[in-house]
Amino acid sequence: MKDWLFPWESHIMLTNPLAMPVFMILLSFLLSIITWTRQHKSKDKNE
Amino acid sequence: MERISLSQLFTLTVFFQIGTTIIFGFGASAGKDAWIATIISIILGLTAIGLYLTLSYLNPGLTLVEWFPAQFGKWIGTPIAWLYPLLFLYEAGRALNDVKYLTTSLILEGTPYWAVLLLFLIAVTYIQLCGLEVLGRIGEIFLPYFLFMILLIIILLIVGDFLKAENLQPVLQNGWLPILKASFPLGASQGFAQTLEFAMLWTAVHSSQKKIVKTTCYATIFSGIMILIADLIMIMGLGESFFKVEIFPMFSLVSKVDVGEVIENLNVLAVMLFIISATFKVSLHIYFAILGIQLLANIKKGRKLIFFIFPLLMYLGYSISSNIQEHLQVAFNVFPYNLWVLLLWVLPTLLLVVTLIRKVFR
Repeated sequence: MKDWLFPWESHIMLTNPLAMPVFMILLSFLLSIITWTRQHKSKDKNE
Repeated sequence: MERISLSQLFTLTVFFQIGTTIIFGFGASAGKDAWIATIISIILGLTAIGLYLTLSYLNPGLTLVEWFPAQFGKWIGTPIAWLYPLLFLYEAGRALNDVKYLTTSLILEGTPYWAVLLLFLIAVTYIQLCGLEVLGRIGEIFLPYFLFMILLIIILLIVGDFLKAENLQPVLQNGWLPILKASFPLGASQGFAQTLEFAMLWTAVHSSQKKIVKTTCYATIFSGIMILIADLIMIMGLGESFFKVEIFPMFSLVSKVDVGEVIENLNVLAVMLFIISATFKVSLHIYFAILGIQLLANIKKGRKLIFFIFPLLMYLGYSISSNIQEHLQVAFNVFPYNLWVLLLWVLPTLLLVVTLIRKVFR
């Protein structure tokens, strides 16, 4: 589990190569909430 | 809106594609046939760049992070788009590790890593605050000096009789497999397919789409020829075994230059080449990441994001790897497969297919 917290570290990339892509996909979904929220707010402002 | 000219696009593309390969040796796993792997990588890289330019043409006025939401819709497209700024930040961290290991092992031995990273990042942060136009102008100033230094190295190696054509023979001694393995995905992705990042920049170029396509292709061919020449002189000067084993083969080669016991200790030239190209590579990775975050998060003033990204990059510069062997192992054996194939080849191809289908059915 600890490996999946710091997947960018080289020793983890070597032992768990899938950790980094999975981490990035999960993080991108979380960050997408910012995009969706801010897009929604700017639409409301324009209306 | 910042704008750059075609010549600035050319210089930035060349510096980005040459990047850190010039010191590490491109396609070294193919041994003395690395120059063949370079040629194949250039061809594959041009194919990838053609794909990205086609996407740019089919999505006029949109940057890379806007393509995916435009074609896949906001619920699927937005998370995919966010992958790219994250990739750019990780690649910036990796390039910082290259700088860290090179400087502390070759020229500033004993200097703590944090000092090297801090000073380098201060310079890069200042470039970010100045903006893209300034970066473009710096590129235009530095490119002639960069090319002159490469030419000087070649001339001195020839004059000193260090280059031996027999080191290239026999050609294809180990067959095509090592060459093809070195070419894809590592060779074609490193520098060439990474040019996908310039899809964040093409809308800022003050010119027509046709001229942007020509300039990008010429820049790719030019940087490919530079990398090919570098590979050839490294193989001819060091021989296959040293070329494969050396961590910094260009540095080792230039260290050998000794013309009449007068012109010697030219290691600094190799280091300067590396630092110049690494500065541009890191600066561009960070610029594209900041621009991507600014567009996706709908932030008006994106440049100030550098103050948040600065500590993140210091951390990545420290934490990505604990030694150079690990760092290089990931660079050659893991990173091209677990991230580059998906983000530089699969997703853009999928995007092109979807874009064309949508165009046909509209």
